[in-house]
Amino acid sequence: MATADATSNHTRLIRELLEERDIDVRIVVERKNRSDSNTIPIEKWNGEAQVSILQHSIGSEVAQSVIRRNAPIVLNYHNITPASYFQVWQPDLAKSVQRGRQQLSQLAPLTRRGIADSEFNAKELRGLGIDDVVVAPVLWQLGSSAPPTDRDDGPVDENGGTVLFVGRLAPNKCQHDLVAAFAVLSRFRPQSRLVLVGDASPPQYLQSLKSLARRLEVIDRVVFAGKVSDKNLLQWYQLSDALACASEHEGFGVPLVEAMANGLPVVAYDAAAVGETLGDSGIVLSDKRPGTMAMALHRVLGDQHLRTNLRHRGIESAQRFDISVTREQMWVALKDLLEAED
Amino acid sequence: MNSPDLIDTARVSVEIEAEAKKLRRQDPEIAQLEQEIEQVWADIAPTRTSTEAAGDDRLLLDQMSYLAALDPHVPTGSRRGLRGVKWTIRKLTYWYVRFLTDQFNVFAGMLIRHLRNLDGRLGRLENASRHPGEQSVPAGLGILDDPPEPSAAVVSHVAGYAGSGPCLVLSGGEGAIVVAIGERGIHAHGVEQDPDRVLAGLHRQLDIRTGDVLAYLFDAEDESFGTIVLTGVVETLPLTNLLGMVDQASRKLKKTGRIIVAVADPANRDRVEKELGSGLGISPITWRHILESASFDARLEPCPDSRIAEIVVAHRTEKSDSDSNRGKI
Repeated sequence: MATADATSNHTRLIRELLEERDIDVRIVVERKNRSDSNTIPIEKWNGEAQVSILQHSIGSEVAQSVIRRNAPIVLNYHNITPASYFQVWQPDLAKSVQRGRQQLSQLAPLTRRGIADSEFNAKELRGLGIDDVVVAPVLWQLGSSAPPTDRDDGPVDENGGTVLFVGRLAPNKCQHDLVAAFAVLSRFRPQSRLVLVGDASPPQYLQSLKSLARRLEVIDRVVFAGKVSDKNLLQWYQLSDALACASEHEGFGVPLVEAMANGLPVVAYDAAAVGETLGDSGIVLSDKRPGTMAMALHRVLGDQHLRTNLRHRGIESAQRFDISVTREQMWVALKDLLEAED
Repeated sequence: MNSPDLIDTARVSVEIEAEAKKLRRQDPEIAQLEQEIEQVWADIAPTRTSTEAAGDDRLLLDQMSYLAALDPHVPTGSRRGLRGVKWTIRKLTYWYVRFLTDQFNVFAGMLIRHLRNLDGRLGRLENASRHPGEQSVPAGLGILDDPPEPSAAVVSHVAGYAGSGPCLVLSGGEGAIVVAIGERGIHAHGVEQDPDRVLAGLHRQLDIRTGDVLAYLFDAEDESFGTIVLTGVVETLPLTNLLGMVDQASRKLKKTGRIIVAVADPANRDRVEKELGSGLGISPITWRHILESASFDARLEPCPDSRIAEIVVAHRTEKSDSDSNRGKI
């Protein structure tokens, strides 16, 4: 259970949701974290549970233990990044995700119900032969880090603009494509800035991004903000003028929704669940060559009418993922199973 | 909140893609730039980052080593009646081909061994000559906490000593010195590597750029600054980096430029900081000495601050104009 991790936060919020309904919840983890004392390490779990909900996004000992026990589960699937993205960067991680995929096919016959963050993830579960699949988005406290949006809706400096991306610095998120697009955008807007928020995983990818930015002569305008606190994350959202996403694999895309909730126009490459999460509230591109992404960002930064439009739509669209809505969806997804056990 | 007229975002996306296509046709520079970017990334990234290409992660030399080995055990087939003749011919051919392939394999093995050797040497050479920003963090850096933001007294004194512009502040922190110098009508910008401080600076709409201070200085054009302020993270750099910094700063400074150094004296650190930060940072008086060695006319100016008691202000001397001493330290 990590902090600032979407799946861990989601798990904690499910616990809150169920405990409010007087359901006794235990979280079983692979490694016990000091900051989260209310968890049970996998080796101490005796397998007792009326309903087991497995959070699955990578190969884990917890999933292995579930497979060994051969007992029915509810599979909450957050998708698994294909191993090919990590093979040349971090072979260990590639093995973990590969293992996650193998475990997924072993978990399928044990699954009573699949809960998918997005329709994209749901399709994958159905493809594995799981018939009972419900779509219920990731739970996270959109409201806790985002106070009422009061961002300046004024025009962006014609030579400037701050473009943001939030997410692990990882090959599947393709921040290198953002740096490339930014190098072209700098031609149109020499004072613009790119901010990449997120921890590096793998670290070599960060070094390569820095080398790329240096070789393209934009290094002094790219901020590698690293992992930031909720407070600083909110500040980055407020300070930025657009969010760009070139990711090739997103099971859901929490930052897309956070950006929308903060009134930030989004320009994104249409891959995996990105288009589904954004809907018609952002500029979704089928081509992410640097020139195309740069043109899109230039247009979004410079066209006030479009900005205002995207801002309003984004805020409205983000309401779909507000915690009050998604908690209800999650409860509906679990309710009958939990009540049947009572 | 009144919603504006709805725009068809799907149509906008298509328009943008069409515009980009048109731009590539009209402005070949963009298409060329895209190709260059692709090539640069291909040079930097490990091979085969794409989904299609990944799968086999053997190194190039390993693949070469595998492919270069010839196998003489090739099936030749047979036909009734001719089996004996073919067997003899095949045996003779086999021995001859085997002789040739052995020779080739020995040669290929030797070639690959030499290439590996060359690869290793090039790797070591690359590491030794890598750009400062790509080098590993200098020993000791990160052990000490980043120095706090400068006090109002330090800010006002540093700004008071600033000469002509443009002014570069390394490291820029949250931008207090940049603001103070800017208020004197001198164009100033800072470079800061702590993202939280960059964020604070940007919130105040200051020109705070991001990155490693040494790398930034290294990349700057010669004789491009009227004033260079060295402060903040400079306090925690090892001596070798500081000497390099002075050398670079003297190159990047205009002929009439000046360097201002505002750092705390390491002698005033508490015991823990002294032990952890041994060899990191130097006192203002040593700064003065180094700058004088680099042909600057340097002096110490008092500053009413509890951390930074003295500020070093260094001007170019006539002697330094001749460039004769560049790179001396």
